[in-house]
Amino acid sequence: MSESMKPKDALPGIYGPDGRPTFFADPAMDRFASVVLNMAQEMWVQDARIAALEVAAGGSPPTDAEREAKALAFVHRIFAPLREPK
Amino acid sequence: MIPQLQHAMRPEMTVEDLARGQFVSGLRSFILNDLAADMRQAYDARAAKDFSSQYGHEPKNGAEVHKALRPDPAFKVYSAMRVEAQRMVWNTVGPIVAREFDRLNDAADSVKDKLGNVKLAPDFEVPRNVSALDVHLMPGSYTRGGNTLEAGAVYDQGLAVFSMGLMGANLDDIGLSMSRYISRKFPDFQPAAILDMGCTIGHNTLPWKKTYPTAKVTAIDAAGSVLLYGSARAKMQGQDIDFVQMSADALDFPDQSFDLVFSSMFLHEISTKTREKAFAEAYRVLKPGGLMLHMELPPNDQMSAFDGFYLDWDSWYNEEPFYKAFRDQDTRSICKAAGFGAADYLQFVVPSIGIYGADAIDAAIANEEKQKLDQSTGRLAEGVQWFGFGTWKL
Repeated sequence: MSESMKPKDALPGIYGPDGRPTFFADPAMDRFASVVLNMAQEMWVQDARIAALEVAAGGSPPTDAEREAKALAFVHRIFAPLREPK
Repeated sequence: MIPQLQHAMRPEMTVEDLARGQFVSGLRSFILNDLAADMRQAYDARAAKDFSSQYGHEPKNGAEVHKALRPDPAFKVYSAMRVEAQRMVWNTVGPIVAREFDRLNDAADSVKDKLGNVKLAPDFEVPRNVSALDVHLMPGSYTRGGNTLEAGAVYDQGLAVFSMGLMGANLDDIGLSMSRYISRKFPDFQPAAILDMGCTIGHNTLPWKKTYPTAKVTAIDAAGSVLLYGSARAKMQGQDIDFVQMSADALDFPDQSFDLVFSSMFLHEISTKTREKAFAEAYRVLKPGGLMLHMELPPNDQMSAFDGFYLDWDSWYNEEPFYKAFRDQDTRSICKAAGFGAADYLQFVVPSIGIYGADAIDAAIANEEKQKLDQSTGRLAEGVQWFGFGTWKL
């Protein structure tokens, strides 16, 4: 985002030199977050491919609701450490 | 969590495509429900108290909540994840649209002679609020790919992933909910001419035609590319809509030519100056007895400081720089400044028709005094409901 289009009341220092938002003291952490998410997405794609092969091999296909519930459980399992302690 | 569109103008999806979309939808659900709850907990337990110790008072508005939360780890985790998940939406759907582009063009070409028109303005200069921003972090935003189907296809497919099924199978939940509300609340109001301003792909335009089938419905947007896609999308659903490239602040329509002027999620994407002109234009083109109606995020002065901050997050971090400025305005005053009578103002909250059903909207009309604005109003998370405001031109 160019300087002229930034919101007028933005706090100082919330964007990096490239105009992108930053959140961590070390900018490498912001980039690392996207690596972790990309890896998790690729893992889920592999899970879907295995599930499709299992169906092709004669297994019973899961319903959309079952796949969605499994995807959500996968996300919760992978990212559980990000939750605040209760 | 349904990342696959249900209309004919959609790409054919592979197992991998569906899995990528499903992951991003699930991730966004986790962020907007679980991590958002954690951030609220951290605000109450730490950030608000730290802010009070430093400044001698609790945060009084969204900007102060932002200042209080910015150093907190729960805010950092929520925000970093949300920004990256947003980028993933577009990274997921961009390659699908690129692969399916020829087929989408053929599909659009096959319906070009159906009812409905699309009219682009060759010399039209797209305003900077559209051309100079990657709105919602979508690369190229509404003008991506020039005057081709690309921007509309990416936006449509991306919105399906982004919305986690909460905007309906055809992303028309806002339009369906709002039009149901208006038709039930004001049964004698039968608009013959309807204008949708800032329509993008027309996903929330179509429900007005379905609700008032004899009305002539016109949809405008400053970006031509999304209109090309929106027109094909409407034709494939058998809807007779005219799509015209035009800015809401300079309407090329005669005075008193519409009964209803509508917009959805549009006002927060334009500057204050443009918004004021658009309201004046809406007043001009409305017939006496007509209605100006907007679905939007609710104003900050009607919410708690935290809830206001929660919605304004997009202004700072989702490349929607006009978002907070709009929410800081008094909606009644904007209407009045455009010429509408203060006594003719209305506002309401509508439950999502897709989640709660049509009967819930009728019940909401019957119990309007119990309506309450909070962070679920206008936001995609559990308990979603839509905020509407507008005014009659009497």
